[in-house]
Amino acid sequence: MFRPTVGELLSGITDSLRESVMPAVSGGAAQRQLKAALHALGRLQRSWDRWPAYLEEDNEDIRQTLDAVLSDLSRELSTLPPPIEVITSQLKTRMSDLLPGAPCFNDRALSVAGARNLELQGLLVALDDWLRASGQAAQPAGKSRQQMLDRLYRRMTERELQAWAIQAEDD
Amino acid sequence: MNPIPVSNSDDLPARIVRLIQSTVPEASHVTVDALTPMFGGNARKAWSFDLAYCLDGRTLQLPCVMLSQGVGRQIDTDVAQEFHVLQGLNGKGARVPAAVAMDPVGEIVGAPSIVLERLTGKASAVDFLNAPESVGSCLTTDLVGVVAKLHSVDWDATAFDPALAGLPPRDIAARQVTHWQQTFQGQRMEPLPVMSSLFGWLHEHLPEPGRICLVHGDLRPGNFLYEHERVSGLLDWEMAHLGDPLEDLGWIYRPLWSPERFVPMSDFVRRYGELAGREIGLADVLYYRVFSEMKFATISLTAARAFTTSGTRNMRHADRAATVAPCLKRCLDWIELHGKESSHV
Repeated sequence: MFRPTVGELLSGITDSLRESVMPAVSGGAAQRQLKAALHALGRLQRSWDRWPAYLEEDNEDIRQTLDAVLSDLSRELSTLPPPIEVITSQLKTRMSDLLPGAPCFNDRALSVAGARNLELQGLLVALDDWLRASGQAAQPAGKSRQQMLDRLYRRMTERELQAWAIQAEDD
Repeated sequence: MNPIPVSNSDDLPARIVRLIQSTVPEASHVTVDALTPMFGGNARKAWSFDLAYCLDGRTLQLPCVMLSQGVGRQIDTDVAQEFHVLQGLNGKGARVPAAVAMDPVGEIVGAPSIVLERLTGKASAVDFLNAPESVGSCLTTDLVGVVAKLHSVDWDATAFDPALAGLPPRDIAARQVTHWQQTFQGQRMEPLPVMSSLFGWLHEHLPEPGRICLVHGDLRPGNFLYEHERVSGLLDWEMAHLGDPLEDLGWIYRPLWSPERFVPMSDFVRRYGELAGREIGLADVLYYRVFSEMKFATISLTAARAFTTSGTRNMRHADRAATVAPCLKRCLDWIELHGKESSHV
């Protein structure tokens, strides 16, 4: 049994607030708060079920891209610099499996996926920072690695837009 | 005197009188009349009043506004800096209110506050953006001149901020990137690799500033007064700093409040360049459009964090993090254009 769904509940609550509470709140801070709450509830209603797939896809995409860039680096460099060794090792270790999950999740698997996402994001930041600081990004081979990351960033951004259910530029 | 909640206005007129007397000790017969709350939120409260006092045998009258800081702020600002900026602009032809008095830590008024001349006009962003095209075009065209005039005022960088002493223009401009990057790093609730990388891009592609000047820092509809078809004054100087003037141009044309419907950005930039006496390259404009998105995204993250950690109960901040992805998409699009423009040059 899963009816009413979370989306149906959120939709019903939003309609109820809009139709029965909003008319009783005239202007001022209370009305502004209610309008903002309705806006946030509307977004939740449009996006609540997108997050599991988002996290799964994002994790896999980041992992694969990190793996590709690190493999490329290891082929080119005879000795991996310590920061890259650390990133490579952490990518394989999956520390997030051993740590408490991401905050405010109820489902354990989703919580682990959230924690894994945080971990992968951190590795990606560390790799990007190293590539820029080492001057690698300016080398011909480095440029192609940076392009791999840039393409990933665009995919991540598009996924976020979907996950947040962004409808318009000013949404 | 113990600080009081500044919203408790029972003895506020007397406190404002004391503030004026402390600023202008030679003034006598100081009166504050018609004290009226103008707006009040978590971030800032404002009152209007009519000030009168005697000085050198003359009675001076000035419509004023007092701005007081609240606790639920999303950006760290300094009212003393804002006051000194306005003082520095007064008498230089910039359309700004006169700086009248300041209580930098709130020991008189109850919260850090400044008293400014009350200019005529309205500041409504909604009304401005929904204005008939002819009115909006006139106002936006007038705004070009106001901005160019503001940017033409000369500042002694060291007097403005001793930390700028001896810095070349490029380093002064870079300080804004560093400032917002550090704010981002302090406020983010997750690593956010796309934003992190974009800050790297901003550092690597910082254009050589054509000029270092006073940048308003939050110049957009809602932060300037207008009356009929004329901009009557620039408001809200909390984020003013020395930097590259193109910062303001990028911010004015952020999509959320852009006057593009009235005057295309390319026309605004071209006219601004004519008034400023220099050519402005598209790549530089694109750079500051990217910078503006990153700044806005960082402010959004700050608001989202404040809501999540109970720093504010303002519901408008509840899903502010959702505004970040559209900012990043625009950045990635403009960086592509920037690359083409730079290789073309």
